[in-house]
Amino acid sequence: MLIKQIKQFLAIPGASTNWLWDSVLFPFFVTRSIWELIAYYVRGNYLLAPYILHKIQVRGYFQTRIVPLDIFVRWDSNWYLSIIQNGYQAPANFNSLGSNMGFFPLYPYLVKSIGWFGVNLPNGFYIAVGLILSNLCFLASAALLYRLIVVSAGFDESVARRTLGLLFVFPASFFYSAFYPESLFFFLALGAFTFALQDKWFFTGICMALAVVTRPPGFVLVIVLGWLYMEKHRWKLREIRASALWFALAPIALLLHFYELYRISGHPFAFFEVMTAWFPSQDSVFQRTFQYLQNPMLNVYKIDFVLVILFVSCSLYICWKWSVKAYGAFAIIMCVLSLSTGSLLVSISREYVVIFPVFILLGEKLKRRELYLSLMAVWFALQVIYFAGWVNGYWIA
Amino acid sequence: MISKQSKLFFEIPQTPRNWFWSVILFPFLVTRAIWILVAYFAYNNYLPNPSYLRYVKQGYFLTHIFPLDIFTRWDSKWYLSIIKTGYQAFANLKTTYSNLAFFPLYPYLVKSVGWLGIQLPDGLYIFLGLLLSNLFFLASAALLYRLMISSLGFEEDTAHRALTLLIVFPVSFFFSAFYPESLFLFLTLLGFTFALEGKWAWTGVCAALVIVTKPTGIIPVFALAWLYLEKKQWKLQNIRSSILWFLLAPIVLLLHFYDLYLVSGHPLAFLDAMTAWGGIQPSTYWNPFQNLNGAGLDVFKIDLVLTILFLIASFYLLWKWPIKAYGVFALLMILLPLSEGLLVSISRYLLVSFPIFMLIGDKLKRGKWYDFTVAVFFALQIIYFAGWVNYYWIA
Repeated sequence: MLIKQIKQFLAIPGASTNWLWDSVLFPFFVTRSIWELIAYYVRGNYLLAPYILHKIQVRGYFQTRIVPLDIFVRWDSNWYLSIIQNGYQAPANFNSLGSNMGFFPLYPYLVKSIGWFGVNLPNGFYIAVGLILSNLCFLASAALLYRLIVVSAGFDESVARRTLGLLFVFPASFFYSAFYPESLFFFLALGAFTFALQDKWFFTGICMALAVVTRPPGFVLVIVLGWLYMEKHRWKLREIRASALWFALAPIALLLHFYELYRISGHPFAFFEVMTAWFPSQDSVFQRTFQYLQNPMLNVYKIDFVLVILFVSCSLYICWKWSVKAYGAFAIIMCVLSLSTGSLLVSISREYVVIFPVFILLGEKLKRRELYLSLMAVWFALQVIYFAGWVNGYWIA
Repeated sequence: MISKQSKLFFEIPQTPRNWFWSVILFPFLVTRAIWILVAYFAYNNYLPNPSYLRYVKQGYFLTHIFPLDIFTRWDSKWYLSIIKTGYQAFANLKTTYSNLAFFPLYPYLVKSVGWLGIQLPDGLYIFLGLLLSNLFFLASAALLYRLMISSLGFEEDTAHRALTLLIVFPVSFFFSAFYPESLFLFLTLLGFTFALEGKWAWTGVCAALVIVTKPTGIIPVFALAWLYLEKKQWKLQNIRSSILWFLLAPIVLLLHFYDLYLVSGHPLAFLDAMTAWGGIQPSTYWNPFQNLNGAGLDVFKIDLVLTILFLIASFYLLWKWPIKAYGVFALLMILLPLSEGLLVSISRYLLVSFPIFMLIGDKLKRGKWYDFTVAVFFALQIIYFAGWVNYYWIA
């Protein structure tokens, strides 16, 4: 039964028979092999950032001895790992300390549930499970996106091929294979869209409920798919059916998570308080952003700024031109939300990696081979240099 | 007349009209734009080689103009010193680094172009040197494309693939650096082009110029002489007076050595200077794997992989291709640098081994393996260039 379902899923009318290998698996393996090569090269030859230097110098690795895995564990991975190891822990002072309560539970809980044998397992084991989960979710997402472009959105196969090409070489695309929840979120977002377009609102509701406890921007899905639901029902209240109730799953899941945080910390809005501690002095966000951009150096913030302009422009175009407005709504809200939370231009490239409608639009518009190859080359070069920095402990996104 | 000649040059039968743009100029501009982007990012965000902090503190290596300065590192300084002060000898050539180990054509060309009778700022020489390097590379790429299609009869797509591989090769940025690599490639390709057309006077001129461009210049001279004899079917009675043009090369080399002798008092000052640089060390033969002892992945290990690949390809060329001069050139371009000190700068030496790129372009048909090779080469190029900009040793 399952095999039949998978076969049905892979057999896309009008698509080449080996599309999964050509457009998903092959670029997946090539990029991952290259990242491993780069990681082995840079960690031994170029200076590490102070953030990681001490740890690597003292014990030779960051979180696990297994180097091919360890290179995908940096920065926030530590917080997800802490949720797996110790559960959520309330900080002594909500206003001044970072805490793992700022991170959402589905990814670490999934890793823990898969890796749970009743004993305390070594970090390497959880990391291996987490990375397998990330990579499988990304592969499934790439396949879902391909199918969505060709079957649901009705584009040519060449558009799907170019879209996936761009997704694979996007500068921050390595986060899909990192100990981060980006690929799980991407998978759930695409799953929700796919089901919604097929009017399978129960499964849409499940995907949204899971997405809202995967990453903070998960609730964007509830808004835009609610929009899609209304679009499909021509914005007429009398056409709304009981299926709309499945949208209630998402806020319920989110409230359950907040309730859990309340039980641990005694603060009903623990998540928001922790977020404030992560990004202090909210009122100076614009000032700090201006400082980032004023700095004479080329840094991630300036590249992020260019990405913001590109993605916002594309999102507005999608809102304006595409018939299904939910894509544009998703893209523009994700763009703006990423800018408005925390600090402007921090982690933008990672936040934007999941804005799939923009990738579809670029895949559609970049028909001229030279333009497409130029963008691919620039993004891939940035990806290589970003990944080198990430491995050596520099801040990327 | 010149415009007619250049029109003839660009009109290659059965190639797209805009081949120069699509195969050469477009990837050339894209890669250079990307290198500058990578340089600005890596230089400002990643820590440089701690051994070269004085340049980091100074803010530049040879010129204040950052987009030019990033193409000057390591040996560029020695070529600039030849331009500014000429060759200079020290008391003990065998133990002190000196510019006598570097060959004169590239710095002399830069100086001659930039010569206005007054001492010019470094930035101008650097600019002229980089302009020359890039122009020579563009000309080399066009020559290679033409050679493959017109002289060797390859399909257009094969030439396209060979050039793409050359442009994304890990150390291809040396073609745009203040280094003589692109001049060397240009003269070698021009020599081969003239030789295939039986224009031996011009071949002799190219050989004479290439021999004073880099120490490995003797290899194209040898390969071109081989090609001459191949064309004469290795029969003494077929040899004509045209062979005398090959004498130009040793004469020019001897003139250069005489120049060094005048400066240093040593007739073989070049070889003495090479010793100071670490070349031709007896210990290399006793322990040829000394550079591979490092625990991590480094340039030497990647160079070893490239050496094996190029060595196999060279033997294949010797075995299969009808004109053996290509195989001879390719093989010697590996063996001579290897004999100077195992795996040091080898990727830079391999870079100009154009027959290998032709062979790989021929064998790697468009498809997964070709895409994979291009992606790996390009990724290494980016990471190498980031290292180069930050004063790490690459080649």
